[in-house]
Amino acid sequence: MYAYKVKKRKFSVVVRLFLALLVLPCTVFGGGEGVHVESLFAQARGMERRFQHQGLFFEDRMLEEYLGEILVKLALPEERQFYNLRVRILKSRVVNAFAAPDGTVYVTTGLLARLVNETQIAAVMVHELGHIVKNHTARSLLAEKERALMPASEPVRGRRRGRDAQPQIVERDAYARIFSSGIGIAGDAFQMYAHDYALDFEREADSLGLARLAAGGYMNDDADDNIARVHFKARFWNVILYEAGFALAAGDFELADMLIERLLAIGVCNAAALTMRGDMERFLAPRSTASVRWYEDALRCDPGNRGALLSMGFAHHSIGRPDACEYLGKYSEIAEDGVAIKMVRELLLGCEL
Amino acid sequence: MRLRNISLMAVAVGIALFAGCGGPASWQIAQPGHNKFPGRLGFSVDIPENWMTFADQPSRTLLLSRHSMLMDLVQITRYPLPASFGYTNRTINAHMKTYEVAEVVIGNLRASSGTIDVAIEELAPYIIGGREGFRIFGRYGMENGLFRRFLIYGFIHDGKYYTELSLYALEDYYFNAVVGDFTALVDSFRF
Repeated sequence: MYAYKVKKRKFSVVVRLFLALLVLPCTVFGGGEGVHVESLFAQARGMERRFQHQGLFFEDRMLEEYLGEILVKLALPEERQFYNLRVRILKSRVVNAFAAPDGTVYVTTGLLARLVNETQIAAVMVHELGHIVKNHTARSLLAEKERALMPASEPVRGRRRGRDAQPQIVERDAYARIFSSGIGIAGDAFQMYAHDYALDFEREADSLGLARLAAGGYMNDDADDNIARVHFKARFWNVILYEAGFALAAGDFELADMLIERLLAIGVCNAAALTMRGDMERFLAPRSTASVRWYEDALRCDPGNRGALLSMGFAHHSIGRPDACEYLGKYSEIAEDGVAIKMVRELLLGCEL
Repeated sequence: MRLRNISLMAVAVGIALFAGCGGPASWQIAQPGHNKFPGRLGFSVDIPENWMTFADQPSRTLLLSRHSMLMDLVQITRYPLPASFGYTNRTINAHMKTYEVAEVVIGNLRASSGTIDVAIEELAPYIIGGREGFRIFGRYGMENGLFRRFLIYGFIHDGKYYTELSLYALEDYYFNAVVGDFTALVDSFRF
């Protein structure tokens, strides 16, 4: 009897899967009333072209391939076949990731720079995979349509956002949201859902994600494997450096410190990271010598590093040390086309007196 | 009779407000021969002909544009020290060296949410209104896929203020079309 039930269940799953695959290429959820998948895919391609035109992609093919491998590893064979599963990195300090219905996962530099091991990456990837394979974009569009068809004055149950959010009643026409966002008009109907799925969909993506993470062996965190961690960090070098630069520019020294520490922990002698560390000290305490040792380390790694020479020169000059002339002089010699060459030459006039 | 007096007063007050006593500030177009911006904001500059100006007294800012703000925008602002900005937590203080002030300005531009790939092409010293300052030249991308060029002049003065004169203009056509007027305006800057 038990064996019969298992067989029946297996048969039912196979039939459902077959039907789903049959229906998916045309529309999602019911004949002419559904959402045309090819149209969504076309919008996804359009959005990618726009991102490209906007210069928003962070070009790091190796890292994108690595992230893509993790995404593919977490997908089922039929999902790999149906979707073009891949990852693109967006330049943005915002900590975020979202998925396009065609299988592309977009992840920001702000998020990537904060991830510390492969399990965390997998958690992000599998969550977005959940949105893709559960058709959350199409289902959100249909839900929005249902809401729009309700009388405008009728209260509509609003979306719940965040873990502790309470259900709220929204008194507005659903279309107003689409038009106020401007995204619907622009053609990327799914884009607004990428950032704003209903809480139920987020839970569904998490639920699928946890099961897939366990199946993929990611629940056994290899955090103690130092070699794996070094390789992991090396792959993320460019992204972390990029975000550390932003954090420093924004004066977010706590974040900058954390990111630079991660760069330095890789153990490679790197002048860019050491110079950033020195710059941070200089910005925090402009008239101290705390920055100098970092610049010295940077110049030991790369004696001709323009950034380190310039920063070292500025550091010494700001506290009236004659050493400034030595470092600014070296910068002047090797960086005739340097960005700050005119400023340096002006400062060097003081050395000649 | 009493009611009539009250309504006349209301009309008079309305006209007075509309005439400029309490009305909103508006853009003005510089006319030939009347292009000197008086020192209401603590400085004076020669406004190039056909440029629009908008004096924002509360924020100590003079805005100018030749074609429209989306195409080209000049901003002259006097910040009391310590000067803070919208996108960076770093501030400009009275004791800072010129290059340190420039580093804060560049940091604010890099950290801005509206800029992509800020590239500095030149950081140079510059004398503005008789004060030692700097000049930063560069470009950045925007989310609409277009690029802007910028030219920023800044200096600390009287130990109390940081004044900045900046031009932001679309790279295609507009920057080259207005940069000459802008540099002439900078050279005309006086307290």
